[in-house]
Amino acid sequence: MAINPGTEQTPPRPPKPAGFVSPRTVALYGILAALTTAITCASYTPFSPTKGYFNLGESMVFFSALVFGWRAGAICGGIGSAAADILLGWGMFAPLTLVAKGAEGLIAGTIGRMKGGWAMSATIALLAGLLVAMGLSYLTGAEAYGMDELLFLIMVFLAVSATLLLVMYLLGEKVHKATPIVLGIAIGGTVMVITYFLGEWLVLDVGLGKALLEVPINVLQVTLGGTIGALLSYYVKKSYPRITRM
Amino acid sequence: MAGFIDLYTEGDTFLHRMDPRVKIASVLLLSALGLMLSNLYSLLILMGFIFLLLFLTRASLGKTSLALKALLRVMMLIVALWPIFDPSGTPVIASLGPVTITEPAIWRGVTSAVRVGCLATVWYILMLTTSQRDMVRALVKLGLRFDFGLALSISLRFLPTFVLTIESIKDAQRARGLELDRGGILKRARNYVAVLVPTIVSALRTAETLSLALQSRAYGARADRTYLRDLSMRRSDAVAIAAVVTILVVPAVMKYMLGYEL
Repeated sequence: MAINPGTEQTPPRPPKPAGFVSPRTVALYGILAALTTAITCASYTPFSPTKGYFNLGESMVFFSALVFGWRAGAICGGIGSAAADILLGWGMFAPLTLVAKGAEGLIAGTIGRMKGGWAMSATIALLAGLLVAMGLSYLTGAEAYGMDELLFLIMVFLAVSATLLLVMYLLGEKVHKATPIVLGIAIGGTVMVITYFLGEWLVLDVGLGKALLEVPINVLQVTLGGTIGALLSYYVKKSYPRITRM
Repeated sequence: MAGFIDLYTEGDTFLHRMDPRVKIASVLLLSALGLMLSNLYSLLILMGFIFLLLFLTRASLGKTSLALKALLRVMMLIVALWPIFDPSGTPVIASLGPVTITEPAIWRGVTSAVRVGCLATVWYILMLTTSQRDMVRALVKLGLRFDFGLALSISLRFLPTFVLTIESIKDAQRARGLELDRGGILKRARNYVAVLVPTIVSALRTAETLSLALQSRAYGARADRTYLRDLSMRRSDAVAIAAVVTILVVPAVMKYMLGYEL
């Protein structure tokens, strides 16, 4: 009697029911969060006299966000950094860290992975021109230069925007690739610093002085972490090209 | 492993045996209480209660003092900085240029420092008495999706491994002449890239192997998964959570409905 295996077997079970994320994602997110925590702990430098803890964990948040997208940035950055807070003995900052670093990863991932091009660069140049013009006229007032208000605004706007566009043009095509990354890191970092400041001041109520003391440290941390995160995303992609398929 | 400590200590006190869900809820409730109270004396009572619990964890003195030393520094900093930014109230003690230091501001600083002390210490109790495994289990039981719980377990499992990886890569790069402890903070941070790139690549390789391992063990094959160890609330857990809720509700009623200054 011929055995026909095809007819008697039960139909194979679907490999993955809906509702669970794929094993690849689970492994990747777990590992990225662990890396964030490990790097935070390994580069932990107590920064007396403030709560001072300066670290390079930020770079991993930006790395995850820039390479794997906003979801990875938000989840791994938020959970990894909050876990580091808890493990290093700052549990009360953990909820705040979860929100601050999660938002940072989310924003850096969203903006940092946009396709930069002339349109984006031009928008930024125009916005910067507008901001500088409005800021200058607010701070000094157009009368200081003996000019009409509208004329002053337009002149400053045109000067700043044109200079920025010229600089971008001279720097060449590379600048369009770098623009979204720099912008994402800058905006994400700003949101993080502001969240920490407001959270410490209003929610945890540690006092305005302590909250203000943290700001320059956080700014330094974002600057360093952002630089290193961007460098890492470039170097790791280069030395491990399979990363784009993960 | 600078600064890295796992606070959990094995033990058999009632705090160790308590359901981790109850412990997490209690920490949140006591934190809420700490944020609600604004009177120095009631905060001191709360702090006394929290320290009593901390004493009952029977944790080793070394770990506790390590944690508390850092906390004490922050509290002192708050007391020192608060009056400088808060010039309200009388009597004025000292005045120097734009800075005015008043007596009520100092007391407000002390109050805030005590509150921060309460909020931090309550977390130490949770960390000292709950293993990471129990913590994840409790979070999954409280409604965290199972796959995220698994990712969290994975990250806690690999954390010490990666800390060791970083250390050994640091040593390897130092042997090749990389200087991590010299130079300004910018140069030092820049040099860290040489440590981080190999670390990340090795971690990503681990992630790939791990995803194969998960697949080969039929991860996610069934949605109605079962657990080897399950959590169950006992009567003592119910009593504990009732007690903590009472501790929160009684002062809340006294403060917001009866108008006491708490």
